[in-house]
Amino acid sequence: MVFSSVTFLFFFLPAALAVYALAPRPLRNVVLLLISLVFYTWGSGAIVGVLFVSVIVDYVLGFVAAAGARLDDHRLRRLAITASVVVNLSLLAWFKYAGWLIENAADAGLYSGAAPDIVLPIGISFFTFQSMSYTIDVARGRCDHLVNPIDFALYVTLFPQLIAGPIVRYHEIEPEIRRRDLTTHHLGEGAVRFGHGLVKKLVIADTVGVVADAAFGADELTMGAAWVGALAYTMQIYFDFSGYSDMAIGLGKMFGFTIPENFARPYSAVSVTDFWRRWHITLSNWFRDYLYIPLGGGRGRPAAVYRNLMIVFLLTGLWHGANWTFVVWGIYHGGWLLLERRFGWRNVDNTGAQIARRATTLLIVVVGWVIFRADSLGAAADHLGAMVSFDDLGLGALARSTSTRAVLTLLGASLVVFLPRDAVTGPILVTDIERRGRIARTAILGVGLPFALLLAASGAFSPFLYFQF
Amino acid sequence: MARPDHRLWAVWLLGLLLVPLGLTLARVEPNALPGTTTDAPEWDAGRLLDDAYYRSIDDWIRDESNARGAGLWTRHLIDYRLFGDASSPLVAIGDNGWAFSRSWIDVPCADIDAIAAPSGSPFITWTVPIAKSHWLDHLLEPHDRGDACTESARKDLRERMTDDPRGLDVNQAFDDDAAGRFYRRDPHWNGAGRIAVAELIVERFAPGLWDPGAIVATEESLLQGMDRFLGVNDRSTVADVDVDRGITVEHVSDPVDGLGILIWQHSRAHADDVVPGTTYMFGDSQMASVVPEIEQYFEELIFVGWLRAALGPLPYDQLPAPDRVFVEALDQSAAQSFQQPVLAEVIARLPAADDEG
Repeated sequence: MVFSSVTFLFFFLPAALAVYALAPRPLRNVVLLLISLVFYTWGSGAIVGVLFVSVIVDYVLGFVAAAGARLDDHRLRRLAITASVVVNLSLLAWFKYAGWLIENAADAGLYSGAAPDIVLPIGISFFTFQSMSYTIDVARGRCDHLVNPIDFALYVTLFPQLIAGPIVRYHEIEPEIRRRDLTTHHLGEGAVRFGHGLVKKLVIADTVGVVADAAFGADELTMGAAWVGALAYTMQIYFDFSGYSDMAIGLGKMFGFTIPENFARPYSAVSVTDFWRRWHITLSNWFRDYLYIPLGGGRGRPAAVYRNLMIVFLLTGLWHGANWTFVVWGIYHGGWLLLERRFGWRNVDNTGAQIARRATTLLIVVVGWVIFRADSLGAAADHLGAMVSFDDLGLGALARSTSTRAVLTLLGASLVVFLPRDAVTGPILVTDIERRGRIARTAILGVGLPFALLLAASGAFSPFLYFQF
Repeated sequence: MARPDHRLWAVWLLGLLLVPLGLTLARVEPNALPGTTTDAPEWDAGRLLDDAYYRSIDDWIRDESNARGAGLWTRHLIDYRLFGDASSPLVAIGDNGWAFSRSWIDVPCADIDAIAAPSGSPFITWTVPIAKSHWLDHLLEPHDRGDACTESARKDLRERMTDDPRGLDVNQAFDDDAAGRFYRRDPHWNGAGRIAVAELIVERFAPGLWDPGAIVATEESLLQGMDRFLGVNDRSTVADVDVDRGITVEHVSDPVDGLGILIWQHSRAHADDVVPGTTYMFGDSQMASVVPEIEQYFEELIFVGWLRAALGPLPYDQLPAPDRVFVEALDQSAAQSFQQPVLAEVIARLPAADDEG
């Protein structure tokens, strides 16, 4: 189910809140688990079984990991972690990458059979990572294991963040899994964040997405159209994904959970390193804690550090999807991080060069999004080629699919790159009691939210971009 | 403790989310929307693990939501009324303000562009409205303009045609006797109507050549136009014409299962009393019925019939270059055709009126 669908907004969410509020406290986890399973099954059907496999495996391995931690038995801990990683990554490998690998093998002449028709379970990259992190954290003694299977299943399947994050690690919501309150404060705070995310998604992301789709689907592009398309996608993916994260955080808060922040004004980053501290923060933290640091992290010889960086970003790219574009996008970002570390560019300072550094970083990121968005490496090369062709600054055929509202929305959305680095809107809307926060909140929720709901009521199916990852 | 405005926003959000439910409980019916809506899915316990089943429920809920009409109208207000744009990327706004589905116009637009680009200016004929106008089924536009819009649009179009030297307003053929020139239960011109239109066209292209003596009017069919609805060939109701003038008719492209582009090519020897060169005529069933009446006046007349759907590329390699293009547009045709935005596109790309050939 999609947060921005009519079914979810006008029926599922009010019903879920009502049922949850009326449920006796001891049954609330059961009720919320059932709500989450209905939510997932609605969008995935029978493939919900894959989710069950991940849940059951890591629930059982949690006991093994806990025993290893309690007895300080290195072998038991390693067994739990290895089993969790093997099972979850196998699920991921089969459902997400098998078809792609077989296609590549066929292209290379190594395989002659037909590629299997595999349906990708929505959100598999998120829930497998979340499930794995539980077993690893228990094995490391970072948190206690869960005895109640309902509680553990709820942790993995909690519907606000189940299919597109943020990736929540168990220790972050452990107290709330065990006990939480349903309060008007949480409900209000959640409503503000949810409404903010809905406006981002429906009013901004979906509108500029039309421009991006037209540009990336065009057979030929002028230089102007190529840049407008790249900028439109840059805005679309940010407002789409950060909007989803806001909605997830808001929904979590309504049900009493504190889901971690996922974005912190990424387009104000002064370096690519800084960008990754601000973009999809929970994924960056996951790779840092469960891959980069175990590999040795930033310690050791420079060559080893560079190797670690490139491995992490190669896998970060691959995590987003089974396509060479994602692989190259990951290597592209890893390469920039490597250069920044090598030449000391990643250090953040407040000198006058900050504006130039923000602009440069943004340019690097925009070019990266072209690689990310393109259907193939060839298409990415064509688009990037058009961006430097210097032949025609006009929009060409793109003008036909660009409405005035889309243009104005794109221009307005682009102002986000000029905002102060610390102006992270979501938390400000909830916590800032000063005038600017109140004005922004009133504008977004008083005007933007009804408009967003009307757009939802009138529109067609529009999934979030990160559902595919 | 909750701040008062937090509580307010919670109430605001939940209130908004409950609006459709409240309207339903208050028995406020969903707005009448154009197009077919999704049928209510039947309860099927065997499909509870089938995601397609849930998608059909989503579609049904979306279509039946009381808020959908308001949502469509909001988008329409902003995009169309405020900015003059279509409220969906699937929709193109025609030259006269009508909205059309791009999926219908892209192929014929490209076809016409390819043919018309090297030619002179087109002559455009606006035909009389003979049915209530309404929106295309699949447009995301509300059905709220009704007859007033139709009349207004028709008036606007006729004024444009009067002012535009490229235009030929065949409404004038019906101003005096509209009732006598249509089938009674069919939205097409009858024999008398076709003859009147044919005369206007011939006089426009070749003044003085129209020969009323070549026409032998016949009586209308007893079916009074119902034959079209019944699928009966109505050629018996077509006025006889003098076809003994050296015309050859070539069927270049067959329609597939009654759909697609149908091309008739009519040729006769070059003579002083014919419109010289190659004339392309784009139209649908109205103009197709006039072809027998006018083909004798053209050295070469190629009629391209836009039938309902499944439009494919024209066989350009089989077709000669045009000397002129003649495009039919129906101001009543929003429900059944796509000519107007095509024309808007074509007009925008053609030479100015002074270049008229």
